[in-house]
Amino acid sequence: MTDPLLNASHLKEYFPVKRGIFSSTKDYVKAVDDVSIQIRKGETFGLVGESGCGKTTLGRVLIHLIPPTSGTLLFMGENLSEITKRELRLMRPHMQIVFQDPSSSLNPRMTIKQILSEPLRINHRYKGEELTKKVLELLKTVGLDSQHLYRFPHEFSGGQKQRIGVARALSLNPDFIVLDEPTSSLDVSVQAQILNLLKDLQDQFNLTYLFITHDLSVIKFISDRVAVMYAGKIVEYANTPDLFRNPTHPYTKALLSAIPIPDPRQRSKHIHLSGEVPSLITPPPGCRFHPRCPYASEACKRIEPHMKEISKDHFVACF
Amino acid sequence: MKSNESRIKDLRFTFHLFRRSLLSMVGLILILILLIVALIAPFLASEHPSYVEVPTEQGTTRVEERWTIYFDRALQPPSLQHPFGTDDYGRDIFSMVVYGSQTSLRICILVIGISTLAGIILGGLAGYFGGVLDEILMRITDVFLAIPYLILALAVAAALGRSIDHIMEAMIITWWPSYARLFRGQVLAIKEQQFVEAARSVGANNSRILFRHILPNSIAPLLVEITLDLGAVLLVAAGLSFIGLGASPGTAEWGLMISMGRTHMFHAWWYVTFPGLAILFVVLGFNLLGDGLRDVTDPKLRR
Amino acid sequence: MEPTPSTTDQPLLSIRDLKTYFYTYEGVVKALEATSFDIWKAETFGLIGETGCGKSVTALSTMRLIPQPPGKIMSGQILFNGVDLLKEPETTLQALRGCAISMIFQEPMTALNPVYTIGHQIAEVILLHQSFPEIPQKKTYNPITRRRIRRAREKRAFEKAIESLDMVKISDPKKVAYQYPHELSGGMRQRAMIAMMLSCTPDLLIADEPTTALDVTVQAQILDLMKDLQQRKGTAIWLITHNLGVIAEMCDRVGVMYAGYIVEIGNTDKIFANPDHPYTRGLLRSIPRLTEDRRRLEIIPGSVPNLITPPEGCRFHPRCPYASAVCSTTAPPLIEVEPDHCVACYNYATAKFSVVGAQEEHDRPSA
Repeated sequence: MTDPLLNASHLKEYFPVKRGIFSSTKDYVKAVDDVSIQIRKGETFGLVGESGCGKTTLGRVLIHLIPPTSGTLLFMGENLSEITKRELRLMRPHMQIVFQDPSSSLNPRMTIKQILSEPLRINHRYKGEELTKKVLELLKTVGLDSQHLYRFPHEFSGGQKQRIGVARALSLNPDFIVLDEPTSSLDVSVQAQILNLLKDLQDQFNLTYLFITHDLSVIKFISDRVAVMYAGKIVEYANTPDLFRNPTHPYTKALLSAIPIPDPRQRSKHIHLSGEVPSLITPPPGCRFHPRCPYASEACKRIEPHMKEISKDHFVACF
Repeated sequence: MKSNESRIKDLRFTFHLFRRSLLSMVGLILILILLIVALIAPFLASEHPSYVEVPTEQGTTRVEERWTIYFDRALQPPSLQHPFGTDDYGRDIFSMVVYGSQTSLRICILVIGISTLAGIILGGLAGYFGGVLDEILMRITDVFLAIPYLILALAVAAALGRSIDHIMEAMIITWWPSYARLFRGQVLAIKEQQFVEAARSVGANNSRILFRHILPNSIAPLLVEITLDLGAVLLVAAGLSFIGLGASPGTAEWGLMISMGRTHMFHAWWYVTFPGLAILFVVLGFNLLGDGLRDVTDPKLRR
Repeated sequence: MEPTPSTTDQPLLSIRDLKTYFYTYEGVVKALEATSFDIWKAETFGLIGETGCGKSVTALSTMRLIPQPPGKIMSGQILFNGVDLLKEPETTLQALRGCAISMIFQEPMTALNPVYTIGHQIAEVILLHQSFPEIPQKKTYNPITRRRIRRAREKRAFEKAIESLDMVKISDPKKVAYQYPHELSGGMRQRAMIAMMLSCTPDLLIADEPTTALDVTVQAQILDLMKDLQQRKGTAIWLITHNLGVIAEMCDRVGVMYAGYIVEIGNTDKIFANPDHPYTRGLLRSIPRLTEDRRRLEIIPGSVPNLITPPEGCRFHPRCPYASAVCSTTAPPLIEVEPDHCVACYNYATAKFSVVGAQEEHDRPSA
């Protein structure tokens, strides 16, 4: 079994909550609380959760865009928290990110050519004629062409802007790309185009993806393995078919049942979840899901459950 | 497609929006007139000042404007030879007003230019880096913000003598803090945008992010403010000269001319009127232009 | 679920040949060309389409909330209970809005006023439209009595506001009524909006993407709530969304919109079982399903047309695999395929029986 491309153990990302100018900060937003995952080369790892669960933060921590508060992050064998800034700069091209909102992830005052040449220029790869050629190549890879070169982002549709975002992520020939809700703001038919494109690119360039979304149907389509996140912790993860066939954690079950199915003959009964997503500053003690869990026991209120392997490659944190 | 087509299209749209407001166009025209007059002053005016070196109190020399005096044609009403009349020393008011445009323009541009530069640098650093640096810079800004320009101008004039340079220095010192604040606010907002994060993810360093990403996107409200302030600076400078703190007597500066003309107001109305009108139109022009720019850069009105 | 409408009733809302244009710098945006559909009493009608197809414009036109400088309702009829809303004065519309026809929007944060409490905002709506028979009219009394009456009305309205918050299953409605919008979560805010809009028991509730900004589990709660309220109060719901799953779950009848036209309309079950318009079929095939395992998603080639220069004839024809000559000259009318199922397509029959299903065409986005 080869080493995983990315090996994260016990990652924590706490953001201090400032209170006043001179107070010592006691409160933290525990966006990522003791998360450990391994991502294998060439796979698509899906990360699912609702808003406020910390998945966006986790995505950024995994490529060290935000340095983790604690924990180890091994990428291609290197511990990203312990290398120098310059070494980190060298690693950057291998781990890229595609953002959720195509409108705000492209500088509105730069032309497409400038946006796409920037990563190439920074990393001393190309200049002048060669640069233009490389940019054109990138555009073609994502299905755009030379007439788009000198236009501004606002002249494009959402789907096209997202393609540009993908092109930018590809420009440095990365091994690993974090896709932070890349299709959530797009129309259904455009989403299909982008998802197909992402799959093709993965085959073409042998990429590894971390796909973050809240849409379980998309996750099922695109990922090999899935992790479900709730309130800063991963509550369940497994191979995709296993997770959908046999959801174990109560939150996973509720999440699955809540998805509206586009087939009027199957009107599912929603599992009702009362309450709200907990605050990440003062999460509930013990299992974070217990206030809303229909199966909560006394133990759930006091002790945090650990990950248990319930079947091959299928892990759950629940009693 | 050609590399500048998009930019040209964008500019054309901007201009179209601008053109829709008649007042903004009026403002633009007024300012253009000012610029042209200042540029061709030597060709427009019939009489010209000379410049002499004069010793200052500190022992250095300073350049001062001197106009030739003709007592025999003092206080003449507007006529063909003297379209704006003459003052109490017989100098042609029209030429003085024309040359005054140069002085005014110089004051406005220098004061605003340096204030803006200082404001952008300090505000930008404070906003981008945050933390302790932000706190320190903002406290310094607060200190300067508290200084009233009039008192400072008086103090400077009392200590170093009256001159236009001194009032410019006084104004710069009190003007830059508001730009620093404004720019810092913009930087804070833009800093959080995703494209800045994206730039960081491809390895951009801080200076690149500041100059290529944050600056172009946060400068827009500053431009509006600057345009409006150009008018305000002119008024302040004229006001300081009026009360005797700025230009030395004999200089063709509009505020000063009004001050001198006060005593002759009732029998030589042209002495105060024309410099006054000049100030009026220039300040009006800047205000209208600034308002027009503000409307144009309002994101809601675009598309 | 409410059954399909009986033919003897008059529809609650009847939109006929609605044409709305927007005059912009770049040209005239022909947002709606000849939109026609009906909504019956107490049914849930869904309007589905992607961004820019005109579904929100239709709703805003119905409420006459289209901003007049760029927008203009050119022609058409909007019959609400037989009355043509386009011919009525603004005062009639104001009386209807919030009372007989209510609308909830996508972003509850921006639709709620941040400086007033929730209770206050709901009470405002109640005060505008409801009368309080237990409190005397304030016409002829002295100022002090008038003030007392006004206070009494406000108090009663606030109480009713709390009742309506309870109706939308907000726990501790009294506490929430005194809170400000920013203190609530997205789901709660949307509930508050629903409470506000249902407080006067309208005949028609227009919901413009009410759950798009919410999490999946919250969305499920809100949708259940809407269904429950509809059954209890008999309000008709006009649901606008781009999510096919929501439509399948909630709506009795659905209309599919594309580039300003209704291209398919009818009973939900029938449309999902037999989608006839190529666009509808493309949509249904392009969404990833929980129940299927597919290697690639099917896509509709091309992209949504520019409504300033829309294609001639059927606006979908440039992207349609079955387009024929007539499609590029005249827009197809709605043809009845089966009872309560109409399609605006000349070639729906050939589409039905062709084997051209899986289009593995490489996506071809246009400029």
